[in-house]
Amino acid sequence: MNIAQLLPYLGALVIAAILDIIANLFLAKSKGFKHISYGISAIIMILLAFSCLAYAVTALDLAVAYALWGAFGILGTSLAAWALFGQKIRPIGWLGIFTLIAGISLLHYSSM
Amino acid sequence: MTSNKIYWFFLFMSIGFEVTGTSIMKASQENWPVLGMGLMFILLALAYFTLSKAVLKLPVGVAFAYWEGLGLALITLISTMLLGEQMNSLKFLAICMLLCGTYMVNKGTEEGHVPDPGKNTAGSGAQISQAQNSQSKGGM
Repeated sequence: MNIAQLLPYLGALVIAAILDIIANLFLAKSKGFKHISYGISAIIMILLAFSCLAYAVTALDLAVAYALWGAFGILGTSLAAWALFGQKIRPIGWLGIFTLIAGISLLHYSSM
Repeated sequence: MTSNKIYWFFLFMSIGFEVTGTSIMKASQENWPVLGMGLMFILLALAYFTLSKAVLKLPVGVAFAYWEGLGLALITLISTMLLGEQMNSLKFLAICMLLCGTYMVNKGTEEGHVPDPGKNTAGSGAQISQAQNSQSKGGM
């Protein structure tokens, strides 16, 4: 499959990663399910995220999709924290970001 | 430190649930998609419930790194050994790069190493008493 055909599936992975980030925020706020409404919201977000993942793996290998998802998630979290909340990224963090982008590109190249 | 063991147990249980759920979903996608999704939902709810318990005591950054690293390693193993997905050296290298990258980003952004003392005293006190509660309830 070429990259254009894969785009909807990659898009689903990006949405899954965003939902996962929101879910983790809610999960942290639930304080171990003490605040039950946050806990339930987190689980609903997670189920939606994994539904997107399920759609993505109709076309992608599970190992590839799972690795991409993790990378999108951490890229999104760190870049958003940097751009929106002014969190500092140390040099090793930037090196990590470039390693992730290189890894994602290599994963694409190697699985086509 | 022994009291932390239960939280590590929660973390590993959580990773186990998540990996099992995801693998079942993929394995059943062709023949029993609804059953597979249903099983995955149940296992994921368990996974995130136990994760929320684990991060009461373990640092979120550490829990996340284990989750990501172990989860990705297990998923890769299962998908190549049980689901018959192709693996080649480039793909393997790419997955290792994603793992290293995740680790470096965590290292490069976390503030957790030098926690704000004022903020943490109240929080950890509450967490400890809650931990004791749940342990006595569980009879452990």
